[in-house]
Amino acid sequence: MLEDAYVALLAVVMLGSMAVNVLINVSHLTDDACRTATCTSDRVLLAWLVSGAVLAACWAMGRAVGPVHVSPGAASWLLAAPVDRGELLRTRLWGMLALAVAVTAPVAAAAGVLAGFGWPSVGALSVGAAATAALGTAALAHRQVSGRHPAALLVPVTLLLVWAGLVVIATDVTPGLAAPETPRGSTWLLVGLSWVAVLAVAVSATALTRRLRRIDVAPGGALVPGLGGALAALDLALMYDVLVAHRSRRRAVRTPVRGGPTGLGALVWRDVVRLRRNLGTVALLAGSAALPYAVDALGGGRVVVVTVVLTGFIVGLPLLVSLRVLARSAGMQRMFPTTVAATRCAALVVPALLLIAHALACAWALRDITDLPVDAVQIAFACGVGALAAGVRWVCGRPPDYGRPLVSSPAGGVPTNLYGSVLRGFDVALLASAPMLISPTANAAVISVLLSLAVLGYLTGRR
Amino acid sequence: MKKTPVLSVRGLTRSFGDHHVLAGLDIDVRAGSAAVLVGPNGSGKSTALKCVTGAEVPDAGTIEVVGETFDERSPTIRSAMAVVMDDLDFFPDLTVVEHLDLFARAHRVEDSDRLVDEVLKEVGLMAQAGQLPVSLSSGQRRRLALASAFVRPRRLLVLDEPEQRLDSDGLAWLTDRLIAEKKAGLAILFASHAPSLADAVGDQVIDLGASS
Repeated sequence: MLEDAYVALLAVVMLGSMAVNVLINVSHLTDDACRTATCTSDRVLLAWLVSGAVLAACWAMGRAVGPVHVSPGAASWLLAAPVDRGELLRTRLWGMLALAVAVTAPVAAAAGVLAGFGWPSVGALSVGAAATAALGTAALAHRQVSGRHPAALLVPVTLLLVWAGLVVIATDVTPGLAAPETPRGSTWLLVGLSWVAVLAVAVSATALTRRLRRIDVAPGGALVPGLGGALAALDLALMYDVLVAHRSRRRAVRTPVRGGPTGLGALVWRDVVRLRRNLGTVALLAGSAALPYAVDALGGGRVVVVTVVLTGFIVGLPLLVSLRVLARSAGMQRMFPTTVAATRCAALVVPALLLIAHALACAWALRDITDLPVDAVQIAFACGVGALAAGVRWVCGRPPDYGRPLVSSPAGGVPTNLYGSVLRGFDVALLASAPMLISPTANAAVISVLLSLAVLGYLTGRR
Repeated sequence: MKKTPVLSVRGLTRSFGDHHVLAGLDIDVRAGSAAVLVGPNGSGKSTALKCVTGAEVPDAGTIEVVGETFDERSPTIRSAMAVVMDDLDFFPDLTVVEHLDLFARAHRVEDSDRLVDEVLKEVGLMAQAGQLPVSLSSGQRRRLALASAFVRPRRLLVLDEPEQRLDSDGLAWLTDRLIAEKKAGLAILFASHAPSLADAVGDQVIDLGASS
């Protein structure tokens, strides 16, 4: 036990020091390359945006699992016992607060270092972000008790602020920010007050934990083992399935929409109905177009191509729900009187239109890397098709097969496709981007489209 | 004149290593009749159904559906064959009635709204029409799976232990429904562990346990 702790501690210290070393070197390199006022300002703003993004991710995860949650085992026997459940739930709440701090503080610190902050300012940013994360998590615990609570707005408001920051960068509006060497006294005062607020909100949330019902804490606890199992198999698509099923359980009744065309048109129409139901997905896709423009404004050059493909691929995944079910369920596939390829292609119509529209909306960000505006449009189109192919690869990928020969590893026998499954989708995104990264011309766009279509043809036709 | 079988299986063989699960199974199911596969766990009922529906490739034997050599990719065969196995997964974001509406419309069923409402009422899921499948009980999910087969055109119905997770009322309904399907001219092949269902519906009972 002591030996294991020693090895773990040593590994953390060694990897941590290596990471810090890399961050400092990258920061120095960026110092040399980024000398204009606009660049410096954008760099500082990026540190805030990264901190905001990690806060949103932290709170989104907190909301999904509770944040206060118990394992299915504890939910079935401990919560039914005539004991003070507050005792059990208090430790879970403080555990989640500690986790929020542990995740947010290093990411914010890394963002501060990369933005060229002085060490005291890095400390202030890190401690401040950690306090905000803990404060939000404690507020979410309040929401668990009371139902309707302003904490429900934490994630959307934070995402909106991050998006606004991206727009500021993309539009070259220089807010005139400078990397602070030492924070002002008022900053430290604010950070200190934040921690006092954390303490107050956390203590009041702790007092409320005994009022939590089983239904408030059990679903999140049931989600954690599901996510853990999928993560152990490095099956990100399965993790996504678990999250989608969890969200469906939370809002299990919908107003049915009937009617529409017949034949394969019925599948296409269902995707249109899905869009009307999940306008947030469309808004997120539209809003994410700011990211390639921000990368372009930061002088990303050809990296904008990869950004367009990756943004479309990742933000567009919720559009592929229909294809995901058709790909994983032979039973569902059999329900349709058409070939596998035809059914899957029907499930691709709406996502394809949206992803191509998203990429075309980013065409203006590609103008700097091409000689002719029409080339930028063609490259944008190829990026949209590439994003679609990457998404299809992600949802249609086969899970790790433990029935095949295993490779020996320190963690035991692992299937040959286990580690590769993490890169699923990203490989196709890179394949589609490569021709345009090498030569951002119309001909490269045609090659990219052909490569993406070959991938799509293979994946949609595969049984 | 003797009717041509809707499903004709000859010499179906399937082995897993040295274990012969199916050894030369023959089945003929004609329109308006039902064949039921019975036998203990592991006797090959599900394997036979998987081979017949294309979920598994047999080692030997031939399968013909509506006079055509079986190929599960063929749209003609897919249109003729309604299958309810254990592998049916549902769309997580479509409600019960939207699933049935989608299947009926995909098969270009005329007056699909009326048919979907009738089937929903029959399987007792009218009150759950607006629910997502994840919120249904296992018995209700089974009813939805069976309903999915009844809202589409079909000449052959293949069911793997359709009585699973159904309550006694559900089993009675299923028995009546399958008898009605036969009367309407459908061919049915199903595996079952429920003697009452097998006796009431099956015109030929194939005991795979006896041959193994």
